[in-house]
Amino acid sequence: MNEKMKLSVGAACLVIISGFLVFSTITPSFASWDRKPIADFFITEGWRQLSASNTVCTIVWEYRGYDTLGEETVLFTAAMGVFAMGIGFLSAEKLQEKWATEPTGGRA
Amino acid sequence: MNAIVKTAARVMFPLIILFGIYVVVHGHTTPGGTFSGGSIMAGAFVIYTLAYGLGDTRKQFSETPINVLKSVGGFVLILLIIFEFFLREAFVPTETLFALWSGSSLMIFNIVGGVMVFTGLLLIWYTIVRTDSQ
Amino acid sequence: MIYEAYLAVAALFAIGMYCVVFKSNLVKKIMGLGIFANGVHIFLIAMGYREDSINPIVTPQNVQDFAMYAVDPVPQALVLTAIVIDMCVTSLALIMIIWVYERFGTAESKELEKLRG
Repeated sequence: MNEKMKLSVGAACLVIISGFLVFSTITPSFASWDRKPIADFFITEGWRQLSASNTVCTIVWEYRGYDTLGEETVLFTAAMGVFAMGIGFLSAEKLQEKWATEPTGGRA
Repeated sequence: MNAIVKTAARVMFPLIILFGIYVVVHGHTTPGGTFSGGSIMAGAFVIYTLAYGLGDTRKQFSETPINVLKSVGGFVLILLIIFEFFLREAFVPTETLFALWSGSSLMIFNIVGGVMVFTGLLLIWYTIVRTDSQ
Repeated sequence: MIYEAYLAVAALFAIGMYCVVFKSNLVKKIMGLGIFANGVHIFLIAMGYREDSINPIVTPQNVQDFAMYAVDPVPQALVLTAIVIDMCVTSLALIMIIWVYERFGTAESKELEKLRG
């Protein structure tokens, strides 16, 4: 991409996103409390059923528990992936010899 | 690093871990929980590594118990989430409110999740710093 | 609705997008992604605001009219998950940049474009 196309793409994205945000503040009922039945249920019933003070904690572990299970899976996989790539990196002398003997880096 | 930095890091290390455990265990009464408490506990190891260097830190806190703790924590977390419905009344009574010993199973979830976040962050830190000394 | 928070979100969007598009070093692009992600998280949490409100934690003083004064707790729970996932993506990207640097000797995208096999 040459410079002029990059500049126009960046400016267009900025204008679109800023326009959307300003539009959302002007219209009065974008995030009004008449249309939030789920939040009302969590606020009125969450601390009564589980007798815990922190409403966000009951949402994260009790009502949306499977989302947290997926998040912990992602954390586990990322830590294992970083560890595996670090172990493979440490035999650097063998890697340098292998990369030096092939002229194009192993790709045709 | 000179002696002042090393002594300061060694003194602050258990205090930071104690504060991190406090934030994790009180996750059902105050704002906090697994991720903020786990990040604070990993920050203590970061300060220790910056003061002493990676070789001394890995000699004292080696990687094998951290790997074992991460695997055991993940297994226990999966079992807890799948069988949470049947064990809800068995952990902690659900009558009292505004106290530490309340909330039926949230304290155990917070502790296991905090261990998972802490060991994952520590493993990522060890790996990325280890590639620098080659 | 807080009007100052949305202006801050627009500024963070602009800075993050500038860093991702116009900078050549790979590490600076990852930093731009982090700035962009912070803007998105602030936008999500600022949509649940309510005038004269308190945080959604039940204490003995505000048990009576807790439902009328609490802030929306649902986007806070979703943003907690999003922060952890963004941290995992950033750490994997950083270790891949280390591999690219050791393999090709450079970490600039302008020079990596010219290396075709």
